[in-house]
Amino acid sequence: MIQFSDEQAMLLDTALDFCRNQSPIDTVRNRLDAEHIDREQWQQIVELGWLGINAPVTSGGLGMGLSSVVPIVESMGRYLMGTPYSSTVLAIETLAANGSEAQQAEWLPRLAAGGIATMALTEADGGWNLKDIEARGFVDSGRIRLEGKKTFVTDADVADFLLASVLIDGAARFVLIETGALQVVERETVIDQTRRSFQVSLDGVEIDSGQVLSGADFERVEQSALLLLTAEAAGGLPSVLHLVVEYLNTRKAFGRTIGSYQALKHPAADILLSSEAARSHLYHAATLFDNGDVRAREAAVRMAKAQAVEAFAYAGDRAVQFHGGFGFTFECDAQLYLRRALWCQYQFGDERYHRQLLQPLLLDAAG
Amino acid sequence: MAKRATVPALVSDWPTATPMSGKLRGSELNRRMCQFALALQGSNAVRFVSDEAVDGGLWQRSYFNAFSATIGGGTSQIQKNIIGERVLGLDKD
Repeated sequence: MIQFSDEQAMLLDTALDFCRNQSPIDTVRNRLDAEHIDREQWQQIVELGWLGINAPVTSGGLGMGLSSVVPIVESMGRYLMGTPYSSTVLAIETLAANGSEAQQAEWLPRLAAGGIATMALTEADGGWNLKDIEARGFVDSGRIRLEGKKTFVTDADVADFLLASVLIDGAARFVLIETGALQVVERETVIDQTRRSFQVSLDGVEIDSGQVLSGADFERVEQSALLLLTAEAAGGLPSVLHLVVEYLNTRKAFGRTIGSYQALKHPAADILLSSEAARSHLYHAATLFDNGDVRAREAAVRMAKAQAVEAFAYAGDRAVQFHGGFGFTFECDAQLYLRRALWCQYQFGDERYHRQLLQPLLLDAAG
Repeated sequence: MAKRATVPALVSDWPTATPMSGKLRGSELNRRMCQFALALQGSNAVRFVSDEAVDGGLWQRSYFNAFSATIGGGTSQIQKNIIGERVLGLDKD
């Protein structure tokens, strides 16, 4: 059963207000391909305490789990906000789940105080299996020399450190790299212009063995990433639908508003149904995330991601089409949502990928 | 399809069906083909026009460009109305 606590409801209200004020569509547009992050806004996010939500109590956080972050990411998705929040929250989650006590004590307080961190999990081949890793770490008298390249490292230029996946002695591990040690951090041209994405070379980087996280729960990290992307997609869906409905009720053709035609009315209704379904999937997955049975959690998260991103990409595609000749232009906001939807769809696995992985989870006997 | 359309026995049900549906089929197929091309690229589907992108970002750009044909010259929705009314003889909307 979906649980939605009073705290989550309050957080959603606060987050929606904040994001609505911070990120009107003109601001979103002014910040496309922005070179720098909005530091003032980041400071406000820090002051709201949103970086402490899923940090463990032992590191000065609230220990409320990633599920409590969901309403915030959903709100940011709704207003197409570009902040290093998801990057940082995912790094916090990864550190909390995989870092030793000493590692958590050293690194987590920096983030609670306003630091930024990110993940470096994807590589040049674009594969979605996070344990399929080319990057290597070579142990040499207490030090580890790294080699390899990571792609789609969001907000790498402003991060204090990143958590990268590498193979060390054949085993997939997370390593913590201070970004000051990186020699190559190059901006990537990506479809979602609200995103700041970077390619990072690990060549020539040396770390201490204490920077290898003691745990290596890649499943949990993958699912955390999926939950955040689902939240963003589920947040974007109602926004793009509002945009569509407003246009269908305004634009006239052959003497009638175009929304009166079933060819447009029915897909709009489909988008509404899928948007509501995405929200239900999201909060079901969030409910199971910090308490549920491992298998049920994985199934819920993969279903949610598959459903939400497929729906968001469809809605973005239809939004462009239904705006007609105007939809095809850069001035129309529909493309902003379509671009965002494609990012959500193709990062960490699209709907086809997750449905394939769902098959054994749902159809094989529990075991 | 052009050749088939000239054989009376193959088009006797709705003689104007193939010429009237060419634009709809072609433009929608192109849009869906571009979507499929993105789906083959894994994470790299989110790249846009740049050296790192598959085929330099041709497919991403082509997908966005595909709407010019599904919108221009009568949207796909209008095309379906035309086919429904003029080819099948259904009542007007």
